[in-house]
Amino acid sequence: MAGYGKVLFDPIFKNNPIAIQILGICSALAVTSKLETTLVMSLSVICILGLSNFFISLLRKMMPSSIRLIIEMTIIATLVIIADQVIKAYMFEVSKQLSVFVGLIITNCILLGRAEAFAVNNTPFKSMLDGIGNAAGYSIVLIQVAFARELIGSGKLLGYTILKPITEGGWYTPNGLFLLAPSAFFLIGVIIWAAKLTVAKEEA
Amino acid sequence: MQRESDIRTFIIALVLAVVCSFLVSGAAVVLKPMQDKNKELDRKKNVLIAGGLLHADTDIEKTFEAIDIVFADMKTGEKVDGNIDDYFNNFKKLSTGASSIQLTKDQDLAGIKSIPAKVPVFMLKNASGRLSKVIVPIYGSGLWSTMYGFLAIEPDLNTVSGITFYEHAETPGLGGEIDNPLWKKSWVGKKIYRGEGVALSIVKGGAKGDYQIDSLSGASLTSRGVEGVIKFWLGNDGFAKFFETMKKGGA
Amino acid sequence: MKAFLNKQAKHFKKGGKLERWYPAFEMIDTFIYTPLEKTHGRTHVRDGIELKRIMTTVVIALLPCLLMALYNTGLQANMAIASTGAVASGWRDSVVTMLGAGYDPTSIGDNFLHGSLYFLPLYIATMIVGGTWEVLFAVVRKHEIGEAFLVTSLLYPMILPPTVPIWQAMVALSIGLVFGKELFGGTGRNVVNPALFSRAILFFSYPAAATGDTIWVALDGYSAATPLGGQALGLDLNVTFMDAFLCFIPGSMGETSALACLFGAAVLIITGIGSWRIILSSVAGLVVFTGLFYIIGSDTNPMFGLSPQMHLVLGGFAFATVFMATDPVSATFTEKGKFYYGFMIGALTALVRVVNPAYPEGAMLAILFANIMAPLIDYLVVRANIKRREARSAA
Repeated sequence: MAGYGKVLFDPIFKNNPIAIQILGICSALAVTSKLETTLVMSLSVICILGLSNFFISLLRKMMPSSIRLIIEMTIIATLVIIADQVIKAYMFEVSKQLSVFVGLIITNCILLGRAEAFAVNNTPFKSMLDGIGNAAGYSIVLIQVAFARELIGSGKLLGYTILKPITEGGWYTPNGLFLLAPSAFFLIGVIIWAAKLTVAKEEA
Repeated sequence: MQRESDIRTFIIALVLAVVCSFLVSGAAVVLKPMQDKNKELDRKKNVLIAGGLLHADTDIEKTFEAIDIVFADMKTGEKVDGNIDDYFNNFKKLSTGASSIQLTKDQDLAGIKSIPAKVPVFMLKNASGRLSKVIVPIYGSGLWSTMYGFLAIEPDLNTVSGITFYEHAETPGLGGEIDNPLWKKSWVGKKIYRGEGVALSIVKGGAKGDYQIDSLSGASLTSRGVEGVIKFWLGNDGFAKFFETMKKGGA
Repeated sequence: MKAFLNKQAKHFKKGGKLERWYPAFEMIDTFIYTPLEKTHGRTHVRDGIELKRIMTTVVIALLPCLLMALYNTGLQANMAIASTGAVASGWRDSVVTMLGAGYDPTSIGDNFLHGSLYFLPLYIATMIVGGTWEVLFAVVRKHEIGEAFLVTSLLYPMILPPTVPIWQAMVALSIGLVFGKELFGGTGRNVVNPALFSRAILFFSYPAAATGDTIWVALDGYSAATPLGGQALGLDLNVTFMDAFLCFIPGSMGETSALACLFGAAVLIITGIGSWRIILSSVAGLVVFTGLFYIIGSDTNPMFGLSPQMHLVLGGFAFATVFMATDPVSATFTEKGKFYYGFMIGALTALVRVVNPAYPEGAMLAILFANIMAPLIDYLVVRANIKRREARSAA
């Protein structure tokens, strides 16, 4: 059982896909200006990556190697489209802000990366844990970035005003830079730096 | 059968394709009604926001029952029939396609080149069935993006009762302040027409009287865009003709 | 003093109880006296002259701009006060009254005083922030304190509008210094010009404080577009070439006088610190492109109608080209590359100014972009050179 725990928790802290492997940065820039959209995005990635790893691992012995990548992509794409439809049906406001980015989960390198690196060689349950772990690692970074961006950029968290802006009669001057995509680069840079520092210390 | 044989590869690909396409289309079909309803609800919500009718406990559907939707023929100003879902779903085709009205450079104050031949107008009635607000869709170019919104007018067809933009991509903190509730509030009660044409304008610093609105600080170009939108849609090529018809009792 | 410092030195040397703070000691020591040990860091390798002397020369070159900054900031504010009849208040007014001065735009002293009251607080704040980060990083990273921050701290307030809230300037400078310079290894290893980068951070962080038309004259609520900003809106501002050349226009504090910049350029070129290649080609780039736009013309975009010579003297182009583009650390190193680099700055400035509707001033973005491209330009120049030589030796 210890093996399973490692599979699930390693990618969250020790081998975080964004902070250590520098994967999946693209969506981290696009959807992190608000915490709410980020949470929905994170949740969808966790579901999709868990399931896609599960199904791919299930089929791993049947897949002909000549069309292995195509099959993996088809499975991932199917899951992504279904997730996109569900979000559009049940969370319309959020889906308007996420726009194409749910669809773009298909191109998130973490998904195919985990399928190729893990799911094709491991049992379904273990693969699912690996998927959930990696997606959770991705989510943790995204949520940190979104927390900072929404709080500093608009003085809000989940849409609730925390720091009241001057324009609405408060005292806080929102920092517009944090609403623009480059700020996510800075923040992720800082997170990567902190992560490498702690990992390096542990290994030493 | 060997694992790598062509036939087997083909069969697996086929089965997977069928299963996946079944799942995808299934999801799309099952969820479609809900998605459409969301879109409609969102639109109605924006109309209500412009009219100042949306509060935390507002039942959108119920409030909307008190609204009559009519269409204005943009050429003649007559009241015509139209389908509201069709208007929003096929907006692109209607606003730029063969049926649209092309604008000359002098007419095109909002920077949109062409407009749909007929545009919906939302007539809001109060409890006693009398007209209480007229809400019209407006759109036009800001600095970076096309700004889409609604403008609500009092029954005298000369007083602004609310404005909202529900879709735009102006600079956050500058042009993006068209979303600022305080600025939107500054529109309420302003007058539109004086003599010939639209007198309502956006001025830099120190707006005075009934016909002026303060521009957004640091966003001269977005403010100009908004002014263009107002001048166009309330002007002779916009809803002015339709308002004349309404005053004569034709709508 | 020297004896005192030398006596204290042992505490800071290896094993001393204050070893961690050696960089701070070293800074004070070498700033006041000639350093005992010279150029041993990689920082200095690229130039023969010692870093501190470069910095001193740059400060001298900046002096006229600084004086003009003080004078013009006060002049613009006093003119606004005179024309609107506004009554000054706040702590600046207390100081002015205490010194028995007034707000007469024709009095040189009044203008200098009023201007200084806007410039100095910003300058002091900048020095504190810049110094703190530099010392902090020097201590943690165990490298020497680079005196470059003194120049950065002088440049930064000069490219700010006079009314910018001081805390916003400090926040932007902190982000700019840490991400633009210290993370890359400090002085001499920064990819972009730290002062300009900080200005860009301010521009995007607090756009209301860095753009628009109410910020350029130091009087609350007084609206005066910069000539470039006004031109973009199609206003006729009646700014003559001479006004703009000498300085008497609203704008960021230090950038308004092309004459003072010209003096700075002369000092930098004569001492060999600023590259004439960069300045010349950058001017050429601006003139060629704005000339082209001027000839093409446009009905809808009034920026097309601004003549090349006005482009040269308006806005921050002159200042940015002379003091920012020539920054030896972030510019190209190859001589040929400097031509490309400069031309790119001029051309991009013209493009942003004329074609982009949102930013009437493009010098800042143009230089930052060229900074980032500089290593690539160098690489291509070197490669081309190798190829040429290969071809020659093969023939």
